[in-house]
Amino acid sequence: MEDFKVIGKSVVRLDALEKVTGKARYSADFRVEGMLHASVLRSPHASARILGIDTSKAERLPGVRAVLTPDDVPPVSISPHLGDQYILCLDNFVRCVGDPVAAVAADTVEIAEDAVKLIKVEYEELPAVFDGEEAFAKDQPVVVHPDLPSYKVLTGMPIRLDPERANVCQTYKVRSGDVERGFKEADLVVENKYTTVRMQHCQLEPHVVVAWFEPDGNLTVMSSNQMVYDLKSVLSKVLKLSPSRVRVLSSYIGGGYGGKGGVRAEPIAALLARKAGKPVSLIFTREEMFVFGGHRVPYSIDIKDGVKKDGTLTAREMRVILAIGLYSEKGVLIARRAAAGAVGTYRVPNFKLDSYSVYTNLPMTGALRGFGCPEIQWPIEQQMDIIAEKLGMDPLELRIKNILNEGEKDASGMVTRSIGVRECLDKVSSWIGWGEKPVRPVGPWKTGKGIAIGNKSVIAGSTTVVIVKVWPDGVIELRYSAVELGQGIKTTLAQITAEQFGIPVEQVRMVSGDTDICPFDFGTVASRSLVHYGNAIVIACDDAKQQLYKMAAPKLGAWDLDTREGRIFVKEAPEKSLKITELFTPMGVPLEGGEVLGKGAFTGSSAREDPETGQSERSVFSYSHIANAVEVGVNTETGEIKLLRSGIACDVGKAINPLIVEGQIEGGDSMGVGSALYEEIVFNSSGGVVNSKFTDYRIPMATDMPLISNSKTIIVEVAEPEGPFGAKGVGELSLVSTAPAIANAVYNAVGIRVKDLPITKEKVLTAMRKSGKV
Amino acid sequence: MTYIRRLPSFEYVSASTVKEACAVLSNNKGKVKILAGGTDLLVQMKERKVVPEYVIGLKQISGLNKIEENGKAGLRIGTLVTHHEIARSPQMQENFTCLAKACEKIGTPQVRNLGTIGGNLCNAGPSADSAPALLALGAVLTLQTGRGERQVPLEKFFTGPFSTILEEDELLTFITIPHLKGKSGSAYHYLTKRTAVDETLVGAAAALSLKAGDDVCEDVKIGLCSVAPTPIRALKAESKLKGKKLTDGLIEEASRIASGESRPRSWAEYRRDMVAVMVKRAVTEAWHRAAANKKGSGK
Ligand SMILES: Cc1cc2nc3c(=O)[nH]c(=O)nc-3n(C[C@H](O)[C@H](O)[C@H](O)COP(=O)(O)OP(=O)(O)OC[C@H]3O[C@@H](n4cnc5c(N)ncnc54)[C@H](O)[C@@H]3O)c2cc1C
Repeated sequence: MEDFKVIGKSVVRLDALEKVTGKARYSADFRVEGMLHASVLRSPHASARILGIDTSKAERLPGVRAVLTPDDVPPVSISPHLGDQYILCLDNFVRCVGDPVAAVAADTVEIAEDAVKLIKVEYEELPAVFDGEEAFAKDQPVVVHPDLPSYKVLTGMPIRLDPERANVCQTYKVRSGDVERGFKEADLVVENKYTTVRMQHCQLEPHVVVAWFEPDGNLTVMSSNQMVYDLKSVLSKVLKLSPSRVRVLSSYIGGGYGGKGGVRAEPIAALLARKAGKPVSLIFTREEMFVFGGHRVPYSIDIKDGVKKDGTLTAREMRVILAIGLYSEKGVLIARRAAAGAVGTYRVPNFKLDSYSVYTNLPMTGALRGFGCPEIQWPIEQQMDIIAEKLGMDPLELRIKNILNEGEKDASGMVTRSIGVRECLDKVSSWIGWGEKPVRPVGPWKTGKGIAIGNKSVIAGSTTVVIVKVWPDGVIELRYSAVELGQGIKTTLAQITAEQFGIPVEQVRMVSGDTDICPFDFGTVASRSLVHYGNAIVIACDDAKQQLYKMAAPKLGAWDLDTREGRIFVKEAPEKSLKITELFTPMGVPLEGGEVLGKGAFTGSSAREDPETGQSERSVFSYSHIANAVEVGVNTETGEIKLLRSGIACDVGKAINPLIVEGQIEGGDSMGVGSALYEEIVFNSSGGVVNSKFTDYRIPMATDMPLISNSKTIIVEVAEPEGPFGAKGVGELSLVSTAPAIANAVYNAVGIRVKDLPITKEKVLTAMRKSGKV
Repeated sequence: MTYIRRLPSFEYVSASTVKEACAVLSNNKGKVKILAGGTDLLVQMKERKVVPEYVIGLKQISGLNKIEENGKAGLRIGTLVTHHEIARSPQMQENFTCLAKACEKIGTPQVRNLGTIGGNLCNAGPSADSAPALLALGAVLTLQTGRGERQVPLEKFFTGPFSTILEEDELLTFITIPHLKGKSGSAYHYLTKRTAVDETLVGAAAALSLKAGDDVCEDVKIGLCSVAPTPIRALKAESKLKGKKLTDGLIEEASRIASGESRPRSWAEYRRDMVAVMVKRAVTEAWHRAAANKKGSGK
């Protein structure tokens, strides 16, 4: 084990003091001289044709500076992969309640909101489809995008439609072995259907943007976006500006969870700013967040498993329907990523998966912490318990028996490596006292235990670039484009940088939040930042060090040099050294090269996948693993579920900052509890969101979590060979298997299996009554 | 879509006497809203459900924020007494357990520190937690206008969801609860919609007194919230119990009757089921409290 100075230490977060003292600046704190405020008019109909828009009254309202209608919007898609989404509704059709129709910029938010109400839109209402399976059917009642076959494919990512199903905008297949043979070999076949629902991220900070044009016509945008370079590229496309003329700024972000990885508010603000000739701020209201801030994709999954008497899985077949809503955005990518979740944990010799992204007339879905993987573990991890019970086997044993081994190929053809799930499982099951009786129940309560495991991968083939600058006093500056959304990336990257130069974290200067200064990054998404930045930083620091060593070598009379604490020394004879300062002139200019700038770029390996079988040697960059063990109480009179104890172990490869990792695990776990028990976006019969407020959409609070003394967070470190210092991602991993663990515990307590999220008290009680359990 | 927005503009008037408040109300009928803790009002104003020209604050009026003995009438609670004050009062916890428990349930500490008992009643939400407890305790309200005051039993106060018999120029000033007689006890049981801190899905309060020396129920009142357009009494369930010797079986029967008296709209079947569970729990606890209560609360 290497001896690290700052890596692996829980150094205090660099943003801690600023944040607890309220001094940290977020996008909404940003003011620009002459800034206007915008508000968006959204469709009241789930499906309609716009016959006419009359903005004259709105324009006459004093204080209104610009009104934007679909006529002002360039015919350029803002969806990343498939050309199906314009800034304001596509081709004069609205396709969900909440689809943006028009926007106003005015002197105050109040005026903008009043003006929006004065815009008259004449609609011809059309039939709509809300249910994913209905939309998926070959005789679908409504085609959401009749022009789908002619839409442009915008990225390298393949889009495969289904000629027989008009609402399917993406299909994805994985094939390995022969499932029919696998089912024949099986002693037991278990087939079930499971569903998940829409959730919202509920970030404290909504989507925020301020956009303005500089005197030279360049565009600057301050945004709470998780993918600054992606935003830059979309804005340059829709505004027909060279990317060199679009500058994206960002500050601290008040929570992302994937919801701020798309483009929502920014192009509207930018177009309004151009039309009004003034800076424009657009801040989504909480209702807009609930309606159009993005939802987790609702899945419906048919799963069929074959297993031998001894518990060996012989086959697994899955059909996954993702009801993605009206635009493809990330929904077409999630159909692919979900597959990684399905193959990353167990050895399944015969495997078949078909996933479909299906349009409906409901709002946009997209990334929500886990990118399709928690939804995939929901059926798999309940199936494992159902199988275990039918075979009379311990569910723990069944899992252990089928976990992939190091070096084995998984069902998508990738060689398994760095798989710490067994260790996670061992640790949580021993903490919960697996095999021992649960807490003794009182009164109407019954108690039970449940376990579940899962994985989350880091996307393959994405790029991150950093620049490192050496200052004369030995301070190392890191220029990077990851955004700090509470996950602690700023601190972790500072630690890695500090380690390279053998200096304390305080000696690192972190520069980010400006695409004019900071280099390219794919985005602060997909649990990818730490692994990509970590590697890029090491490369950039080496580059900078080589430049320093080149200057120092003649002075030290040796070439094999190293650096620590602001000094450069000869490796063989450390007493021979000089201060970094000595390599600079008194004016602060390096003796050679004008500036010491190191550049590091890292692209995660990837391998092409076969379109018919999904087979690829490298479909993901790395896998992180998780195990949950929970104990619940279920009230047999009311159906209430109480989480009594909860243990969670995460294999993160290497915890660069253990306290930050624990924060990620515990925060994610509570989100997992929300997904398991409470959270669901509810629609009325015309497709409008019913619960668009925190009073109606409930997320867990401290009172819903087990006492700290009844909770356990365990970090497992099975190194990823290509990760920096062995690290893998953790941000999304932590909620992947919470829900099935709770579902399994509920079953263990009262014999009720809930296959449709969330596990509400009403569902549990009704099921208990029906089955005569109470 | 309704947006939660900034508050609409309004003029704030601070009243220093009840009379003054009544005068402002009657001179600006339909244009004024009373502000107590504001935890309901401000939300409604942000949603533009109400857009008053004037908002009149009661905070400066002395006497409305006190809990006082009012002789034979019982305990007099000023309309501005907060949920926190009631929940934390040892006297309330001891003698009016159901009310202390209901107020302790309301919202979060911030809401309990601001929200008032009078505001909870005047807002008249179907799920107002203090209402079942006050119904069970037989509360009487003092309503005041420039023309005088009237005493109204709480049962007569609610007329529908978010509506009451309050005249446009009328103010709730006090809530009086008679002391329970003899060996008595009360309890409040509730189930939230989803999370632990959440709107009440079903709330049931029971207050009862026992005949000295045995388990015969001398008097009982049961209040329910969130299961009908307004908080209600479960009168039929009460008469099932009144004058009878209490047993678990009898309480079970009464609970089922109460369930039949409820008229929930959404989650109807589950809610009706839960009325039975909550009533059973509330009556049983009230009974046990009464049985353990040697002195009674009647002083
Ligand atoms: C986060 C949150 C959680 C909540 N949780 C709960 C809960 O669990 N249970 C529950 O029951 N409620 C809950 N509430 C609602 C609210 O807090 C209570 O109803 C509270 O008691 C209202 O009191 P207030 O003093 O804030 O009323 P205000 O908002 O000031 O007034 C409410 C209404 O009554 C009128 N009014 C007030 N006082 C008088 C008076 N003396 N005479 C005539 N009219 C008057 C006002 O004009 C207004 O229309 C919650 C609210 C929030 C914001």
